[in-house]
Amino acid sequence: MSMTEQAVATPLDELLARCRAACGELLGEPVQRAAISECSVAASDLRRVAQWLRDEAGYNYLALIGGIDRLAQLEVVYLLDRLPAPTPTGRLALRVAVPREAAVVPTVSDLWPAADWHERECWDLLGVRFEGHPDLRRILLPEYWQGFPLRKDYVYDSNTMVDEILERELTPEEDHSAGAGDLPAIFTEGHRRDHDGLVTEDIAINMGPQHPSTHGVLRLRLSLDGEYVRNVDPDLGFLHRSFEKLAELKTYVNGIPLTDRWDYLDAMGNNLIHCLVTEQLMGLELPERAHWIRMLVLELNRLASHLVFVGTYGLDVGAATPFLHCFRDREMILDMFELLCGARLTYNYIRIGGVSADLPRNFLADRVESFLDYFPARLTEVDNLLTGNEVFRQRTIGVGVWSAADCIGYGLTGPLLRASGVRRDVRKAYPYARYDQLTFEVPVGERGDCMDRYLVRVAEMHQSISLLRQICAWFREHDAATRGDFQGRLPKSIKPPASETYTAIETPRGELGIWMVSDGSEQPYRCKIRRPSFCNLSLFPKVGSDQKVADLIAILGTTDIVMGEVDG
Amino acid sequence: MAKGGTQTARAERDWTLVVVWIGIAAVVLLVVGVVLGRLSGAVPHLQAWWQAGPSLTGLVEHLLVNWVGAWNWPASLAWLRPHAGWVAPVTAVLAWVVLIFLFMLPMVTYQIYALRKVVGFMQARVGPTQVGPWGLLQTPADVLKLLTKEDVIPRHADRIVFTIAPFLVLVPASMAYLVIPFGNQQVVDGKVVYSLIGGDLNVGLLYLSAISSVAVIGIIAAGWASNNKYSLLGGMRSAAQLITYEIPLTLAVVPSILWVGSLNLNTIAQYQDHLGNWLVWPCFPGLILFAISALSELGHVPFDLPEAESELVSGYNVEYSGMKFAMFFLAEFSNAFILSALGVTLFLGGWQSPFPESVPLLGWDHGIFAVGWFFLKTLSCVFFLFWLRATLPRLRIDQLMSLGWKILIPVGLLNVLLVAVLRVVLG
Repeated sequence: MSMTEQAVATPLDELLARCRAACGELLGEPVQRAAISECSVAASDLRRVAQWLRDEAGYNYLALIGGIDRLAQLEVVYLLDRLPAPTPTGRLALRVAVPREAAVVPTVSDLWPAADWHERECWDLLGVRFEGHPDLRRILLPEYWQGFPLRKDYVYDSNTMVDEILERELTPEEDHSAGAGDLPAIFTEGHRRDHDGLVTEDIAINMGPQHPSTHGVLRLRLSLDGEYVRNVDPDLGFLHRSFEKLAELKTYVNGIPLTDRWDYLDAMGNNLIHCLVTEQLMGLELPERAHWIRMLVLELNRLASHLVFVGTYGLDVGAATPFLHCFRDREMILDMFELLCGARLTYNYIRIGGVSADLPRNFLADRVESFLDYFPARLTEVDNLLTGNEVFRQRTIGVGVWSAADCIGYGLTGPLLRASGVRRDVRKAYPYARYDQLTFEVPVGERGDCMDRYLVRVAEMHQSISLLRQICAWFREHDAATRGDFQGRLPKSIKPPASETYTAIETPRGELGIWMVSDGSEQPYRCKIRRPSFCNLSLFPKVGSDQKVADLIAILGTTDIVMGEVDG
Repeated sequence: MAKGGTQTARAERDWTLVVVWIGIAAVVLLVVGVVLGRLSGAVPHLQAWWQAGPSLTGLVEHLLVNWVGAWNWPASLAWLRPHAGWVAPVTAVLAWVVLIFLFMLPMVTYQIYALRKVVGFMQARVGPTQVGPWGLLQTPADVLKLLTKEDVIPRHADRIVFTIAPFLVLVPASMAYLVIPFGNQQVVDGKVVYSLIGGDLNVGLLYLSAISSVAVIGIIAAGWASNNKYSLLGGMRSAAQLITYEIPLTLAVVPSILWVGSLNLNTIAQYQDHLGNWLVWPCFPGLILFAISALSELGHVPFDLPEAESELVSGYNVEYSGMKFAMFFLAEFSNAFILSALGVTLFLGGWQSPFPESVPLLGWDHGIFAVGWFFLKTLSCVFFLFWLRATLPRLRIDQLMSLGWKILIPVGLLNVLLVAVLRVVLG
């Protein structure tokens, strides 16, 4: 990291001094960790401090809310940052400690709308009640679930637990099979309309979890007024596999294969963030070659992931052909990964301290460079098929316009944020690997509509191609000298010292980060994942209402969610 | 907690049963045909019909006039004699049904095969290859599969309407074949030698536009009766779309009628006897209008909103399975053929060759050559549809509506006016 403790100490002190001047002695003693400034604050003072930080100190972006069970008490961490460029203090973590029995924290969902879903998740998994939250329902687990799985005293006995749940009579609110009974209040208010004497009623309709355009098992509960969607309520958790809980049960190394399953279109990125945060906790130095191999596979994976987006987005607006062309080209990237690690989807390739295997001989010349010669023309061909098409333009230009303020407020990252004109890329803001040695542009959109979100991704693919060329150039120079040096030296057992940190990378979907807490043992104490798809989807209920059904699909398509990641 | 899924009536069938049924049906048909033919003395009339020129209307005429009137009723069937008025039409209609399905089913089956191959080629795939050489038997196998599939009616569906709806869609589609001129009508000294048009109706075009409007009822019925919100939305979209585009479609064909001065499709085809006389020249805007409206009438890309897969899963037919689903499918592809044929007849010279008669082979357009030209042109149009399917995304419902009402209808009206004036000026 470029920010040393020395460099940020002064701005942090200054910030705290300003905060004390404005809000009084509210903040506890600051802690400066590798890349993050931390302060604790009492639950009762949280809102005042948060509001000041947002309005006066420029922390407009809430990256995550993570709960940690400290046994004696529960702790809630708010990770703040500024978009598009970080403040001099960098990321700021606010810690709020509350007693286990009465875990109540005031909500900040009115300050940062992004907090809405984060707080629901924290309530769902840790049982922290957020006072004043407008809609504090469980979000990943079913309504009738009992207990809070991420608390350390939670005992999961599948036999008794499931029996208990299955045998209990459900209340009408909990009973999802009863049709309209499970609709939240927003669906029943004002659903009768008077069209000049003709009284109509909205119909509630389930889109998903089995639906061709919800990109997996997303369930949207819609209320329709003819062709117009009046309300959207996403129902998540069909693919919830409790990665955060599983991570606590496995060692750091055993956790890597799990990461492949989060965002299965960008498994390399998931591997990387898990390793990166562990390496940061351990203070590991990597061989130079490992960094470059990592960037190579990351950018290839970004291409593969964006190819799926371009193809499926075509499908969403009714064009089937780009999909198959994109998958044909993606196949070449998957073949490369198969050569590297034997897997085509779940790679488990990036390991703590490096990568699992060196590049095969002639891999770059035979595979990567020939692909780079072949691919740009193909990309342009598919792109022309869509953007040169009047129907596609009509379906996307001016549809689903998101303001930059909304995107920042809801914690959107990645291409969605950039399409609304916010030039922010984690690779530039907090460079990792050797991205600081590469030159690339961060493309942004102008209008923030569906077309822009599509175009930004295509532009990013062109940037990735340029990055890959630079990486190939590095290898041409250093390949012979560094061959075989792809894995750093590791201790026999991986036990990071008791500490905690947050690191993030730029995946095709946005800022993927992990807040990792180590207690010095072989297993993480807490692994809070900032899942970009989850945050990106949180804007959807707002932008999805009062759209036509067809536009809803077109808008949902541009969010490019991967349900494995949304549901964690 | 877990509630049972929707129960459906289970029809148990297996292959043996199907083969036995088809066998029994074939034997019965054969016996009935032979017995009726022998007893009724229809054979000489059939021969007479053949000698007079084998036209389908001729057959109906012969059966009606000669058979019923001059039938030497055998004693055993004497009781039928008072009812002869309906025996003959019923027989004629049955003959029609068999003929149409003998044409339509293979036609549609291989249209689908062609679609899968062509679109496959455009999408960097190979299409069907496994069943039969080059996958040629894939679609017949699919048809057989659909015929033998369990016929599911959802529990809460309106059973009667649900069952009738596919017929309401398929019957008009098959009726349209009556007036399509597949080839020329050879007339020597006022006597028809042969005729390659089913029914030489002098209101052919009117008939076509009338019966094609019936299908929309079937689609709304299917959407409503399924008791599924997705099919209801699909049915609503279809109804709005079909009714909207009936108008520009009709306006698009009016110029051709004005130019030739006839509603008879055969007359219109005959009028375009050389390339310079093709109606595409005076009625070019009409062709464009016709193409757009026909795409919409077909619910074809980019107007495939009624069955928008990414939005409505499959639209009005989402609850249909087996043969009932196949009937919608059959109607859809059959309509694609009919509208292509209509476009060819109205604008592109019908069965006429674009070359002068003096050119050997290519210039010939009588009999089998006329049929050849007709199919060449029509199937080119069908290919064009496939091409669009592989290329275009889907419009949105409001864009579709405003295109129909705000652009196509005014342009259509203007075009009618223009052609009318042109016709008067040019005499």
